[in-house]
Amino acid sequence: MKIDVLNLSKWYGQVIGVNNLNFIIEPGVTGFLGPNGAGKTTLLRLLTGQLKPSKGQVAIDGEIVWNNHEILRKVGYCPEMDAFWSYLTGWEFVCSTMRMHGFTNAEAEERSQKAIGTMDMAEAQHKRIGGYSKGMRQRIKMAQAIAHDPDILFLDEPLNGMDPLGRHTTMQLIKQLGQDGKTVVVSSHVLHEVEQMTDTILLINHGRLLAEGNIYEIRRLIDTHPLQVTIRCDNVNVLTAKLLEFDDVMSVQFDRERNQLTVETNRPDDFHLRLPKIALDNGIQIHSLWSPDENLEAVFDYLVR
Amino acid sequence: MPIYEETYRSWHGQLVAVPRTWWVIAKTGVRLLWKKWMIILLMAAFGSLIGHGIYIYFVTRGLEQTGVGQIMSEFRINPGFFEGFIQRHWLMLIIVLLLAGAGIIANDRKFKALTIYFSKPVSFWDYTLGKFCVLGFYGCLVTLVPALLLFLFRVLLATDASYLKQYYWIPFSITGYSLLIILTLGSVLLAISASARGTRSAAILFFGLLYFPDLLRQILSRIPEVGLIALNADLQQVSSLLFELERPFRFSVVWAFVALLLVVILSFFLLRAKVKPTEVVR
Amino acid sequence: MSVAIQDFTIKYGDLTAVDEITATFPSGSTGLLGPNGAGKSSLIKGLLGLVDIFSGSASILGRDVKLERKAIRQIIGYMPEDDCLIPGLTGIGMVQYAGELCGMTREDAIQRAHEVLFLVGLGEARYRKVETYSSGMKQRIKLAQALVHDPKLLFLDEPTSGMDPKGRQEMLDLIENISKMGKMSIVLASHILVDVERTCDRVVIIHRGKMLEEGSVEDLRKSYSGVYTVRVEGDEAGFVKILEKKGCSVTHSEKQLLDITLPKGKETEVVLQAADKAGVQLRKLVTSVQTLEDVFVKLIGEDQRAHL
Repeated sequence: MKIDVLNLSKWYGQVIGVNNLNFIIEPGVTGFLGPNGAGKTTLLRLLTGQLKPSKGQVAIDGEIVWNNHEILRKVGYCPEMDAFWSYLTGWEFVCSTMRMHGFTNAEAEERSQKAIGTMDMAEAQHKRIGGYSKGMRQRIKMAQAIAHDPDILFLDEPLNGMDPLGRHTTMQLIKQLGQDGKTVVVSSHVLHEVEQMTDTILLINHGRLLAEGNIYEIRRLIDTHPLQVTIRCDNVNVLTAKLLEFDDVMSVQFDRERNQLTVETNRPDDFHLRLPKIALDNGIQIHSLWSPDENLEAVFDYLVR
Repeated sequence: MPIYEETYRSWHGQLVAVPRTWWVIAKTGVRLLWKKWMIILLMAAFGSLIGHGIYIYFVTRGLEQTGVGQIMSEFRINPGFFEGFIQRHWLMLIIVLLLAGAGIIANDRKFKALTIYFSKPVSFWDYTLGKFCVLGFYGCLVTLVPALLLFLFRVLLATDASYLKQYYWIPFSITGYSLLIILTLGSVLLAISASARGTRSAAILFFGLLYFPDLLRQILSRIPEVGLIALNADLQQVSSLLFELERPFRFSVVWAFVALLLVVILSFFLLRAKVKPTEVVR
Repeated sequence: MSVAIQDFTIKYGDLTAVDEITATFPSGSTGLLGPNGAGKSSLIKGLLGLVDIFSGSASILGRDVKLERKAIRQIIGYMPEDDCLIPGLTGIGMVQYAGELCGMTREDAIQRAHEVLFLVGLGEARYRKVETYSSGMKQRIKLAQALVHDPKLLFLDEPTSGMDPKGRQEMLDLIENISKMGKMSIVLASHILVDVERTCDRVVIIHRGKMLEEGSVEDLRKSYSGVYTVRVEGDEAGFVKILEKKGCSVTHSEKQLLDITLPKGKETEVVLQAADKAGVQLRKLVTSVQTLEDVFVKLIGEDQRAHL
């Protein structure tokens, strides 16, 4: 199921929440990023039909989302906020959510059981939510979001408060859901983890869209920052001299302590193609080679001022 | 000279070996409460002080000189006057205490400040004493301080030492009574603030605890012992002892005192149970 | 030795949160890891005297935790995980207050509070009431109140929680800086292993109230000798074929990465030759390292199975 956003704007009196957003979210996992205050929460609320757009529209599979309860049956939402019905047990919470979706008692119980098991909360399901740790609350929120097998999932900081094991299994779960063809939108500040789950991102700041698409494609497009390549080898001087013979190398930095050099190249494809030959022809042993800024952290840093 | 970076710099100062944390808590608490409504209330108390002062002036100088004062003994500035003064400030005291005390611990619990307090060298007694002093400060400003000032004023107006010779013990009674009120009401309020769900519930509980037992006392006025459950009645009974006045109620003073003591002790037990650095949730 | 604990046990009623743990945290920065409910927070709270110790002993910087509680609190700083604030105070007021509670004079506390607030990046915001702070600012003020009295040991519980990517980087930079310049030891409890890898020298892993593993980050992340992680762009299949002909074994890892085991005695030359011959772009070539996450998942997974 696709999510189509067209000319979407939302303001509160004079304060702008999101400003003229246009994008499409395809099935698979999409990372949803932005600094605090960028408008992420507003956008999530618009996408889940909780807020009415001031202008423009949000459509899922061609149907407008606002005031459309039918389409929302196919949507699962794991919000960030921590306020809960603390007197309910985990089981009661998930079950009643399922009943609200219109399932029969038996179905609701079966689905709840399955979802709670997937989120590893079977042991604690009959204890009151008020006594849950942060990570446990997170898991039960996730359980409630996936129990009705939605085609679209919005997960706002789903790993928040979870321990490393939980993070690992939840990330695997999210990747699996993406592979199964669901449309999963994950919002998180821990970029390292977003990278593990997907290559596709949606980045907003100040209510506007900054970038959408594949991380590496986006990186290529940021031509104000040529790609950095760090090489650790046994003969830094000779290698540098040889590399500088080519005009795509914009700068070189040395780390003498670690026998490293870092170049910036504005034609990375050419650079990486010629590198092995240059090293071999000059008898240079390359110990390691990597790009320090070809990751989500760097892309975010470059794009968000 | 090397260039200083904006990095972490160590501090080469001295820490006080045993910091008087209760004092820090007290003075910060007092400062935090020095706000609009409190100032308005204190001004009202000040107004009352001035009013009473003028009254004292006229009675002392005016009536006594014209001889009328001899007949109207109830207008004399006797112990009853001071006890009455404090009594008249009862409502104002309650409001001031509520303003200062309903949220004094409740707010800390709401914002999880207790974790910060107890990660510093602050013990339960430091914390409680500090908070108590805040209540004591504002409570005294409406009872003890104006009453003593009025007494001093009366003494200064006297033409000879006879007044002082007769009533030298009044300041002690004033002090004793004011502190007793503040001790009882203060500890109850602190205990409620530490246990209630929030500032508003604390205020309501405190008010209820003062009002309803007294209501019961009035309804069941045929059974005088019922009055023991009303804090204000107990306090008035004890004050009458302190000021050498007639007992206003028909239950024993000793029992009144015991009742007050019990209330204070219970409050402290409740405080001890509730003021904990972290609330453990199973 | 910053922290030494012996048979340390903490119970809440019949629930044993910390079960007879014996460990030492040397000076430097130590990461404290473990699943939810494993006992990390309880351990920290027990050391700080915020909860009662059931049995065992512990000493912080040479002082017994049970006997010298107040003295210890003067020389340690605690940044709690929860949003703890002193209501009604401004940022500068709260940090100054914290300093005075530790035993600083009023003047010292004010001066030092301003210094620390600059360090954590709270500029003009320090004159606003702390109740109005955003989540990132709340994290910073919590750190500031823990540092104002220049402690010798700093406990940080989930310091980057709720912060956006920039804030996280700034906080991690700050922690690294403090550890280096402040000459103070740090105990960092966090679920985000990347953070721990970056800022800590050692880790202690706790599970079900017991200590599972302790060691230096370097040792735990031991590299596999002769194994390299490689990424190429172009004719990957051709590249792999050439490598295998040269005697390497190649497995596909996630995200277009290849794990290549070189035959004995051979160096990375082999990879370069293969890349050159196959005409592919050599984008990445690093020694395979086991991440902390791998270690964690393996250890906890084993421990859980052992308890089933």
